[in-house]
Amino acid sequence: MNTFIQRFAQNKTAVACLFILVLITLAAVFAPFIAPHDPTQMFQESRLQGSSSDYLLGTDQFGRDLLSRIIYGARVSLWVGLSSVFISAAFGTVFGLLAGYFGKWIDSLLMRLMDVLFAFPEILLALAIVAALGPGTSNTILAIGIVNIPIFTRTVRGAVLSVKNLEFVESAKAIGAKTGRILFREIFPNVTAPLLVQASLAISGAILTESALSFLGLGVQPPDPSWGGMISEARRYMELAPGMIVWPSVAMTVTILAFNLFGDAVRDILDPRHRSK
Amino acid sequence: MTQPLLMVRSLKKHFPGKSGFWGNQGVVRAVDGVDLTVYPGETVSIVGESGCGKSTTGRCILRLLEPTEGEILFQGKDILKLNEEQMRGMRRNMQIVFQDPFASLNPRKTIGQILADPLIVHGIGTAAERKKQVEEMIEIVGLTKQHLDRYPHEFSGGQRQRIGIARALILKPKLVIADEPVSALDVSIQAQILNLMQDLQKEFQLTYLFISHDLSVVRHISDRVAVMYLGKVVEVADKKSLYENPVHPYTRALLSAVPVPDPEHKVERILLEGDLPSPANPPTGCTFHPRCPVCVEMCKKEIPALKEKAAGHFVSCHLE
Repeated sequence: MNTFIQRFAQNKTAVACLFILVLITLAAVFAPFIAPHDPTQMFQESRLQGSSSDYLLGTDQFGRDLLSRIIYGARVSLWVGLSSVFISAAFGTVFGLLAGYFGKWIDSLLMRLMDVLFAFPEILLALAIVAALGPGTSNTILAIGIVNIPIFTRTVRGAVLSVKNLEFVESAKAIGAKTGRILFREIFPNVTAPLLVQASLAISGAILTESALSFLGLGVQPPDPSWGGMISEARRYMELAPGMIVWPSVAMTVTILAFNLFGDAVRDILDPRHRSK
Repeated sequence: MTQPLLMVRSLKKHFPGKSGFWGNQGVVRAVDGVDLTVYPGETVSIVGESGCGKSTTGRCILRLLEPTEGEILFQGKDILKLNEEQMRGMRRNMQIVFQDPFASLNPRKTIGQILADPLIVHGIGTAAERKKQVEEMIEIVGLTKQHLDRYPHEFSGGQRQRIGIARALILKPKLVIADEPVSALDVSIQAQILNLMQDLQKEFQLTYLFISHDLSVVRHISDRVAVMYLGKVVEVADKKSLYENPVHPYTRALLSAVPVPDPEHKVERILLEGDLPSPANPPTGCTFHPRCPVCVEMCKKEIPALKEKAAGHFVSCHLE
């Protein structure tokens, strides 16, 4: 593990991305202390303004402070990203362990089920689930969580297949360990590396899907701020106040890029083929 | 005579062959009727070419593979009739040391965790007692307490094999199956590990079932030797009479291939023709007949039984 930290420190992309992600997380956690205004408070006399000392990034059509809304929007994005990936990773891990370890009909059944989920485009499936459950933040989380289960199942299943025939698994059987113990104490620790990479990549996808759903009016409901919802509202005013569409987009792009590059960097660091360098 | 610790009767393990679209086609007879008796405190070796079923036999005895047919009597009790829970309890008495010291230890666990695992699984002792036992065990196999916090990749092959032995012995088993425990090691390290195993055998009154393809190693460590060919035992005898007076033509050929460390020594090598036949499609009659230098007509039709040719010397051959 020490070598991991060392190699992580040497990877400039990884460190830079981690820095940005920590910054965004802190902003989200301490939003009430950082944001200059209440994100839903309307300053009627100063609508659709550009940057000023009062409103650093300007205001929207109701006179709400854009910077405050973006900071609070980070809360929503991170919350949806993390919790939906937690759902996908939890189910994906269990399914992947079962499918990979037991094989045979359990494998066929689970993987065909995953293929069915995989067959739909991500956003379409998420849309269908939210349409069925009704709009709202928690339903968005659930929908994105379900959509990403197949990716995690496949990742974990592959990793399980690569270790399940090694002798240490047989040795656990010879000791008399029960199947649950073999799965979670022997095999699971060996699949955490690909799981970590997959999780950091999936968070960015989840944030993007949440924004898309909110843009379509199915995700986070107004007046709560979310980046996708802000972009959606900004469409009608972008000639009058371009900042309304620019700043939420920048926030989203930076966040997603940071998660993606971070995931890529971690994958490179954990890849044994890069270790000789 | 004392009661045998382990008795294997007509053990068979068939694997499904190539699976086609219309279902499985044929079976691979990896182990095809093995009889073996092991007495307490002795070392019995199984030798044979790769693919003859010796490792499969070992794994079947521990029920790491479920045998297709046969009986495995451990202290007179058929362990194949035990249910899962009873079998888990039985596993305390029978342990295995693996061939590959790099694959047999979980890379994500410390040595301390690996050694404590068997005790935890069987609910032995408190955390403090387990720690003490683990510390004692690691020193018995020639490593130190400081090694317990390290991970497997920090050890050499020989050290890892010592850890593997410690893990097998921490439950104080009666029978240890050693599946090619030294094949992956350098010759100098092989000797160390073999000596360690012999010392431990005396200290803990262990019984070894030693699986190997290395005839010199087998000669060094065994009391009795069983020679396997294509899923069957073809000859069993005590070490002395097997090495000095091999009866089965296969055993003779095998022994003639052992190098002798003497440049003046001239031996008649018995060269076998052909390869080991496929266990998916074994020859009729005596499975050795296509390669046997002394084969007669009967060998092609009748399967020879394992018969006692001299005291304690069993051979399955029509001719001798």
